[in-house]
Amino acid sequence: MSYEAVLAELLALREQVTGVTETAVAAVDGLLVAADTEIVRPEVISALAAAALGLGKRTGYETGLGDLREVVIRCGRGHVVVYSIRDEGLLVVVGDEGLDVARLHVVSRKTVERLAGLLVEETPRPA
Amino acid sequence: MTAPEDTGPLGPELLRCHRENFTGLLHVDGTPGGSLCLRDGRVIAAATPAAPGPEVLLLRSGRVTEQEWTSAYDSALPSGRLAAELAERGVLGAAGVEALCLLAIADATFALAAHGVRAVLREPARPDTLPPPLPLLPGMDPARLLRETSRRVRALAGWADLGVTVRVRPRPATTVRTHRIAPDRIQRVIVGAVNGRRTPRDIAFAAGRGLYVVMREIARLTEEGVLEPGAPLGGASASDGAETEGPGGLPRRRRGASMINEMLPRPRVGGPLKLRRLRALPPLQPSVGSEEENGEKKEGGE
Repeated sequence: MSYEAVLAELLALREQVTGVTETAVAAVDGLLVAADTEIVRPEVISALAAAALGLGKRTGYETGLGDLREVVIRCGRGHVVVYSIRDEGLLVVVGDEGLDVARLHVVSRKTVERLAGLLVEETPRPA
Repeated sequence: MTAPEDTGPLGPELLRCHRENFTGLLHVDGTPGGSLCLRDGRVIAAATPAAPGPEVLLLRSGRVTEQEWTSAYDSALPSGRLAAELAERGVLGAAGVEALCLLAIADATFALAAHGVRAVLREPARPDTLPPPLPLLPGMDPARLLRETSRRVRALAGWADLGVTVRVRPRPATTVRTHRIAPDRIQRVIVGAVNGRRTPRDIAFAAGRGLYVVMREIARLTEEGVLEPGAPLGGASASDGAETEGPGGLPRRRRGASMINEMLPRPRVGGPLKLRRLRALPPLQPSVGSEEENGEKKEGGE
């Protein structure tokens, strides 16, 4: 099942990166696909992450800084990081103060690649 | 004496730094790694994602409020005298800062050793190197630090029989063998934070307590039958075999296996085909532990 595979990716990310506490995958419009969450509301974080991603992309475009890598929100008690999955989806990662941000950026690149493979369109079957 | 295997290459290098009065950073390569900050051969700070630093210990434990910390931090930032600023404001005395820094250094070094040290690398301080916000002055003697780390690592080895490791995700026991009338405060905090998702490190961050102390209490609670080691992440689907082993062995999606195309109405002309496929995924299932810990963050902030 695709859902199980997406969830397995989220669990693997939490296992591999110290400080990751919750994750979710959503369509780029904020519609939830799968979540590994504990406290945050999956639908809400998906919608907010979509808004943050859109804002980040637009800001990057306006400032001429090139393509968006990720959106990082740092708060007193942790981080929220949003990655784009091609043009169709997003991965949002919530972590605590000790989040290993450097490792997250390394590990998440491959996670995003695999999620893209799981989420994007298949070749339509012949009618 | 420190057994060499307790701290890997960190021990000998740290002692060498002490002999050579090294000033700078000692990067520790591990998963996760970290760094020790040395001045004149003595350890003045340590940082790793695997253990809470002084800021987390102060804020999450509730000893210092966010506002007090931010205010003191902002005032001290240009001069680098955060400890003095905290003392002047009556937030934390000089002895309190010293005890906190000692605890954080010992805890971070234990965490580094517990996760395994692959290699260490020196980075000498440059004139423009920023000092750590809360240095321990004049610093901790590396030999003493290694002795303490070694003692803690040996304790950790003893907990392995209970299934308590740095990677365990403990959960409340399904059947409690003994009843404790008055658990310690830290034990109450730990039991409140345990939910089968969190590692000891996650609980240490949530509770604002040191990793070693949290692990020691988890081991005690496990021994008493209050807690038990949880299943590894993804354990629910591990029985499916190699298909669900993780990123390397992810199952390949078989085209049409979900039969979703047969279930959905015909797509609208010009509609966002790719998004429709995302929406067509099976409905969200409840996440593990989501029902258990409502309000835990409040608990952690005590």
